[in-house]
Amino acid sequence: MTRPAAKVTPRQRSGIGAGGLGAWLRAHRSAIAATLQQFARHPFAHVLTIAVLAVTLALPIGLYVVLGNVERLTEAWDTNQTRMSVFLKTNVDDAQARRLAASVSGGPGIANVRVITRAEALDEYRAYSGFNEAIDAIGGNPLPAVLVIDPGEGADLQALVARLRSQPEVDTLKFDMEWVQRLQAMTALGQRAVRVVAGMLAVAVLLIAGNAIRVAVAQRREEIEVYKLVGATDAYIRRPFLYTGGLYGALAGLLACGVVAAMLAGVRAPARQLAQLYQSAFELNALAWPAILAVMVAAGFIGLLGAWWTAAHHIRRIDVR
Amino acid sequence: MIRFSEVSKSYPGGHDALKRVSFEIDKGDFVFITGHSGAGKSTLLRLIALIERQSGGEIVVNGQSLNRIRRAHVPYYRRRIGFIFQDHRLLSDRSVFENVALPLTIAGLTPNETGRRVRAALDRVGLLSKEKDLPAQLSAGEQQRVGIARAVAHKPDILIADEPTGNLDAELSHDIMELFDLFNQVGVTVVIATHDLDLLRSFGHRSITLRAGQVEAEQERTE
Ligand SMILES: Nc1ncnc2c1ncn2[C@@H]1O[C@H](COP(=O)(O)OP(=O)(O)OP(=O)(O)O)[C@@H](O)[C@H]1O
Ligand SMILES: [Mg+2]
Repeated sequence: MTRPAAKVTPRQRSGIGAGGLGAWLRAHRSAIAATLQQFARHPFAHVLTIAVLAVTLALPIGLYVVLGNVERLTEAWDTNQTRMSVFLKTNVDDAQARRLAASVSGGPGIANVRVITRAEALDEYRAYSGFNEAIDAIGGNPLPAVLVIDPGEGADLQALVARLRSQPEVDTLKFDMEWVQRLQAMTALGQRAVRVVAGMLAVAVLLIAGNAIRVAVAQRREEIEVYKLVGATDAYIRRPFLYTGGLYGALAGLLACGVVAAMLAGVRAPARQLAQLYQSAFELNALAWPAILAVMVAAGFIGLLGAWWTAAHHIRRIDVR
Repeated sequence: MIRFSEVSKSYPGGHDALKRVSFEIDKGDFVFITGHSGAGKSTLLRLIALIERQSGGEIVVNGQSLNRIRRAHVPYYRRRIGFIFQDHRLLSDRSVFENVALPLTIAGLTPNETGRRVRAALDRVGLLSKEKDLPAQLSAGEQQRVGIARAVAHKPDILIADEPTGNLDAELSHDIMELFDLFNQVGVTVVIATHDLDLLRSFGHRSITLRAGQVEAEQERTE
């Protein structure tokens, strides 16, 4: 017997199980369950992939954090408010240095003068350089006294510089802003470089996740054949692999943030000391939760994309034998 | 229900597995496809399952020409047919229950409905007590029956089996065939490829004999 050929929609053709939102939700729930089951069954392979992805992600994340901190540091300096370091000659003793400070401090265009005596300079140098033995070997104090001068608002800097240079005790004179400006320029350049590196490593994450999923699909070939035999669509079979890819990315992102946070914790104390050296209350910024979340979402998305790209292709090529 | 008109199939490499095969199977029929090894029995069933596409001619199943079923719609087409292979093709890391539930889960049935139908199917094949076992814990005959339960769980219109008793002894083979008979009696169209002529004779259903890719003989029902 033959029935007249009728146009049948896929949903009718399925024969059983009307579709709808409930079925869709169930499909996703079972995909998530399948994904978690896979993680539980083969933890080692998954952890290995996640670790590789995390290492790849840690580099750009670390660079971003470092650059962010440098940027914050340089922004804290108001480049309009120029601070000068006036290095005195080494034969000028501390008493002479103080006298000079007192004499210039009342002058025009000067807001504040602070003296770093030769002894203080040496102490700081000993404390932060670690060259104790070298200094002892030299004997005596090779460091000059320094006057740290904050020029007043709207001061005529050129006149001020000329006046200070003419003092017989003054050796050289440096604007601290010079290096800040240089640092800012370098930070801008660095940011561009980090963006390039991050882009390249995002591609690496895409490839690593994609390849891991390709291997997983190949390993589960027989299972996929059975699924196709009993009427599973490619989309249905693909779903757990997509979740896996996304999970790879997100967990790797979290792990990478953890690694970077650990490294930051390691350099926090030295950074604080360095900041104190410059009379700054600067604190190293750690990774905030919103940033970590953003990393996880972005990495998860890249993982998903990588999974999609390979899973779609390889699942399509498998059919019942 | 199933109509082959001048159907040919040549595999890549130029071998003609089927040559202008025509026959018709009505709704509710029970048909054996038989013939020597290499005659084209499996090829014929694989064309019905859309595992292969014919090279020529037309196959109509359920009023629908298979030529016109696009790749994306093949899964939905397969949900209306139950397939059974000689190797049972069960998932070794899933329980009997989960194996039989697979087509239902895929089709998006609720867990309640799935459970109900799985138990009904397992009951039919007499394995209700083994639903928690893994396939490896079952005998060959039991594994084949789980395969049958999976094929009928979603209540297909057509059951197709390729050497379902190939690995089983005579007695077990007979039991399995009686199971197919049972489903046939409630209206399911059954097509079975086998070269077990004794079995074929003892059931006396209609048979189509292939030889070198062509229909050699058709034997009508003998009861
Ligand atoms: N995938 C394939 N590629 C090429 N040739 C094939 C393929 N499958 C089957 N053939 C050939 O097609 C012919 C028919 O094969 P088929 O498997 O349909 O036979 P059969 O009747 O099922 O045999 P058997 O009883 O041994 O299972 C054989 O000559 C076989 O070699
Ligand atoms: Mg065969």
